[in-house]
Amino acid sequence: MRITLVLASCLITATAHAESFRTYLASYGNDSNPCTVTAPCRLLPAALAQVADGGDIWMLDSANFNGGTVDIAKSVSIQAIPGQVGSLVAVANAPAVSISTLGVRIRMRNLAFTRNATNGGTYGIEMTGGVSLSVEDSAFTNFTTSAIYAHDFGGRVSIKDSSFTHLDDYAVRAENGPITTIMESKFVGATGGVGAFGTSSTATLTTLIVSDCTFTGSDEAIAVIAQSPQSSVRAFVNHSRIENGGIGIGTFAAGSANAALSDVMIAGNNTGVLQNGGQILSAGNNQIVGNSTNVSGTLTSSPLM
Amino acid sequence: MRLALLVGLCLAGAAAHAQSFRTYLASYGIDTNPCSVTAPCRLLPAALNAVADGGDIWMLDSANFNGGTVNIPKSVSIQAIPGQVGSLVAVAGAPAVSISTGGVTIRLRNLAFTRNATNPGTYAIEMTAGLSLSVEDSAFTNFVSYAVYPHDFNGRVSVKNTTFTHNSDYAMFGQNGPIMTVMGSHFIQSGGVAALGTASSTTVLTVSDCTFAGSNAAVAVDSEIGTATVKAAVNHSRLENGEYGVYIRGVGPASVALSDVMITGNTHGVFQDSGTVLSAGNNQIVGNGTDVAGTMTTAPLR
Repeated sequence: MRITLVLASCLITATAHAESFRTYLASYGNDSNPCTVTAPCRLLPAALAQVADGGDIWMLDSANFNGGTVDIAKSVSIQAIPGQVGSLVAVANAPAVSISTLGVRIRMRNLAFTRNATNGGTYGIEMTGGVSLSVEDSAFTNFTTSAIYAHDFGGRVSIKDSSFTHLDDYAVRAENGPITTIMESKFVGATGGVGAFGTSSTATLTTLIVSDCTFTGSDEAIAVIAQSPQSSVRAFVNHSRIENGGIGIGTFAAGSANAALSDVMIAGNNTGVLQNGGQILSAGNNQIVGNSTNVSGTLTSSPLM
Repeated sequence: MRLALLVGLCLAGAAAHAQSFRTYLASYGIDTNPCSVTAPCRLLPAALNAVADGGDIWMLDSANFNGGTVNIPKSVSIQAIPGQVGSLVAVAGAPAVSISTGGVTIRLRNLAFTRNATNPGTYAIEMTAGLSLSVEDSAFTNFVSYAVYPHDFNGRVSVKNTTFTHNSDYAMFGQNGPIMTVMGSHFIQSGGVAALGTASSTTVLTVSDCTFAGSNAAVAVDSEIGTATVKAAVNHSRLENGEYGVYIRGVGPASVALSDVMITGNTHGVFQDSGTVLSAGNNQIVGNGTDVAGTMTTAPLR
């Protein structure tokens, strides 16, 4: 009898500490729960601690799910159930999410990032390590620094079907190494655009691809800036609209900065295309019209084939 | 008395086996229920048993709805209510869904497929027979073998508005016979789409309005024997930042036609080993390690 009891308690202990393939969060959860669907946790760090590497986290209802910076140190897919708002807030002069662990592959879907207006944080997501981050169907609002800041690593950042609204700085800033792909996303209303930067004193290649996106009112919708002589930065823009902002697309090069444009509408900006060093390749099928200055510098023809 | 009891049991059994046009699943369901909206079942096999051929299955709330491989042996439309997550997980070295019954037409909508990280399965969907599979508005995440694997039959597979994320092998791999159409879908740090012929067969692949970011090969066309024909067409899509944008090899007849495609930032943009690459002359192929290796043949717009 006593042995049975001891065995049973061992099993319970083992179960409590075993990592699950899928863990759950809810507004009515409690972090001392096992993060199951019937006993969900309250905040993201608890669900991350309980989930297996490569597992899933579901936010079951609408709530805020962080208290401070959440460090995501394993591969995981995090999603709020569609129809719910999975909120993560940058607070206390720090980012909402930090990713710095080598090798991780992280997917975020249907999350809403913002900055606490009464105790302001910095970035929505800061990433300095990892293989891949995929942000899907998410929203970033009211940041005063970059919403997504990926820098000083060679991994990949992909953003699909997301909205960036009312941001003061670059919505996405990629610097010194990352390969960033932005698809079907909207940059709305006096907001920063996308900046690809090379600032390192060692050789780095930073790549940015933008397709099927709309930028309205960005100070610099797409900036390709090789600040250091050692750096290479390149951007490819396809089937997108860049409207009513300061600079549509600009290259600035102490190092190597290239941009290639195909099927892009650039209209109503102060300067449509600004080639200030580096090279801007046009496929000859872009509509660059109605800007105060349509093209400053040189557009180089790169025919379709 | 004993006889009456037996008859009663038989009738109850018959009632339990009457098939409904529409059956229902929910996280709070029980598989001994009739799978009605007021008494839903818990797992997909129970709803499949209770639904009529050609019927509907609705997942009413967010949950996982399979325990192991689910064989779908009849025509059916399966959807999670929009706003809910209808999860199906590949577990224990096997696929999440298997389709191997001739003649079936199956529609899957708003489903989320993934692979159990602690007891991994293989494919999300393996299909070896059937008239047609339509996958709509769904997600496939974290597979290490193919997410969708139709092979060795002549039916159709259509994928619409679906996202493939972090799958390390081809997201979709069609071999020896299927006609595949992929529309408005995204492949994010995920394998791409392959059409492969290794037996006497004609395999067809059409890709439109898709984005591939970081695929080992975004679109691969490969006829490995002389009697295997493989045909592909890619329209208004973006193939970016991977190893191969378009790869083609043809021991037998193999072709890929490109129109309004951006191929950029790949190690190899278009790689023609053998077979035919037809370009409409309106493709942006720039900024790849090698933009075009081999030959592109002009097939003008008209």
